[in-house]
Amino acid sequence: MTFDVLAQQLINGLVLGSFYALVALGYTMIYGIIRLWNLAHGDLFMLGGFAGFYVFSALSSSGLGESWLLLPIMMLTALVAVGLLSVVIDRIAYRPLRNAPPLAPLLSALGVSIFLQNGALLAFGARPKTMASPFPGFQIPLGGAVLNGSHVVIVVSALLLMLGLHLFVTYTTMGKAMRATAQDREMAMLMGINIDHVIAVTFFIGAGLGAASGVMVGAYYGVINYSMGFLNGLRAFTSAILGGIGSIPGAMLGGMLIGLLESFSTALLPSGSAWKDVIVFAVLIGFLILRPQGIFGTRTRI
Amino acid sequence: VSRIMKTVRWLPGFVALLTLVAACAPAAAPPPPTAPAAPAAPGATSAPAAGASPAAAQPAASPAAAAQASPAAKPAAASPGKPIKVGFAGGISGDAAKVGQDVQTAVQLAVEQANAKGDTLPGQKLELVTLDDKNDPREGVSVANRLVADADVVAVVGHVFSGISVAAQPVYRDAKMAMITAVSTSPKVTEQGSNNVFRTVGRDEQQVVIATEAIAKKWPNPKIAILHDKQTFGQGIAELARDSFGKKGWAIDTFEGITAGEKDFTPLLTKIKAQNPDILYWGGLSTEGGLIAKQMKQLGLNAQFFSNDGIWDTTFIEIAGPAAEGALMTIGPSLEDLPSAKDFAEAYKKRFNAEPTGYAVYGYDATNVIVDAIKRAGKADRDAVRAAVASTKGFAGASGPVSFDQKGDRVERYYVLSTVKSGKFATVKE
Repeated sequence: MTFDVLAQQLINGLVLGSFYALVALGYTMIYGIIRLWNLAHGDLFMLGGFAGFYVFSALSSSGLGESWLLLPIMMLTALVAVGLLSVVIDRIAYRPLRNAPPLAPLLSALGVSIFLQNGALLAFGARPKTMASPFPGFQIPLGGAVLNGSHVVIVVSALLLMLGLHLFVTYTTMGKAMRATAQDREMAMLMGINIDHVIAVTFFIGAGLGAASGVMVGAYYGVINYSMGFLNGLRAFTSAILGGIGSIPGAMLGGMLIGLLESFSTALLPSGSAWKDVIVFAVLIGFLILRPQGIFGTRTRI
Repeated sequence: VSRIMKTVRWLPGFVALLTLVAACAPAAAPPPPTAPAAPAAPGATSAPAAGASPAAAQPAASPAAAAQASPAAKPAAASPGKPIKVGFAGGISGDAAKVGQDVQTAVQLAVEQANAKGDTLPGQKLELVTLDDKNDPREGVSVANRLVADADVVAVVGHVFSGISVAAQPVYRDAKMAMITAVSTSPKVTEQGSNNVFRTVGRDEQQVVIATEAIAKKWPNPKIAILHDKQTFGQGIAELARDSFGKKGWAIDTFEGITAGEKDFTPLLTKIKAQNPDILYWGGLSTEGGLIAKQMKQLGLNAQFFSNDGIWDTTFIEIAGPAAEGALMTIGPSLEDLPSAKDFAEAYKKRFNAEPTGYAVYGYDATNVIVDAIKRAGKADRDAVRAAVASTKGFAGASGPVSFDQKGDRVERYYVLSTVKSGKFATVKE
């Protein structure tokens, strides 16, 4: 493998990894705080893509069409809109089941996922929506490899969002309350933390980050369809487990690892693109056998 | 007691889930968004193509239409007033819904025209039964069973993609019912040993021959990369292309499958770029095809994008954008190049306020072959209609004459080398 190809596969993998990592954060945060595998998370990612698309269509005809502000506005709108939707979903579908056996909210999440996917099919139609690239058009010369504005913007925004989340969780009172709730919900409640409020904020941030990823995926590939949440959600969930479910740095690292693993297994193996999922899941299984808690996870106490 | 309490606490979850599922069930088959005039309701749609259609207003047709207007008043001898049902089965929702919607609207037009002209058995109207299989083989089989269970359905136009057509055809075979597909081109469709399967489109071997000829003309000794989507149609045609190119002695460095539904093919395309092929041949459908063409351009992979009628859907051009320009593919001829399609194109435009695209004309011909067969059979009997369809020779279709061979394949060769020019599919003129 020449340097050009190596550099290009690194870029491909990091871009993929950024998408997975942002979605994985939502899975891991929600699992960490209420032990729920939020099956509807991939569909919230998809709704983020649509929100970005409609903001793009509305603004691209106005003066903002060429501005660098377009993408941040798309991401912010999608983040807030989908975040709020996620809070509503939690209120309706998960909160009434807070003390039910764990399978009940899981089934409820499955229902929400089906509901969102079919709702999107009805509302937005079956044909994929297509959009032009809102990314800056510059190219960075890197030998034979292509590194352009979209790659830089995607990786940098993902890193900034993850850094922001890390600072929020580590240094704010709400972040402290989230960590306390994740450690021991009853004890946190006894300390006067408003659990429902903390959980709502978690749902808001988790879904918002997923929606931001949806906007970037839609803008980068130029295709948004109602079923795009499934495959991405699956890979992101794998990332969250690999990194250690419940651990925020773990989700970031897991996402990047899965992205790189996909790109390099495609590159290095003959017929690699057909085998890459096998490789990814083989690594996951191997990891779960040797280190069940994932890279950064801690063993759950019983 | 605690065990009972536990069960009771489960209930809200189950109820919530059941409600959601119930809410989603009717939502599963939305009306085709591209056909505003199509009165397609969720689930099974009986569209009694009555005199409301503009076609009914055609002067030449009106006396016949008037005679048919009150069939109940003058019952015919055979089965008075009972409609003869023709089925349409195919994906009109889901990912590649546009392809099926094109066909469904054309089928509807053909049925409406036949009724307006009184082009059926005396005293009986045709009725279209549209069932959506979402381009899913399991749904396809279930839809086929529903059509077969309705004793009034005599023949079916469907299904859309080859994998679904192959899965559903035994159901029709056992019911001795003709199925004419207007889209499925995989050899497997007519190689199942049944006598009830026909198609108004070509076979993939034919388009691979044309692709090979076109490549040989322009590239003396090309290096080729072949990608496919691991589906019946996509992998099938990719293998045919590999065999055909291989016989010419051309170097095929890559033959790889991708996963349909994915969006990122850059790792694979980066690998292919390092091999510097002259041509990238794609066996699959329009969404992934469009993404591949687009990402090739982004990565600076300058091979010629070459595909087939799998990407014959404006979705390909929308997704690939400027990268679609100059792409080559083997598809049916443009309607402008078919003098026989002029009346169809005008009637379609008038009825649906949109240009007929993709496989519409083949759906129209498939329906008219059935209409013709019903008349020749002289009775609304499945096996008689099937036999009449099988004996179709030189039927004057909108896409040209239609004849079927022993297997049910269309005898006339129809593929032409085409490209994308200014955002439209256009035949390559020598």
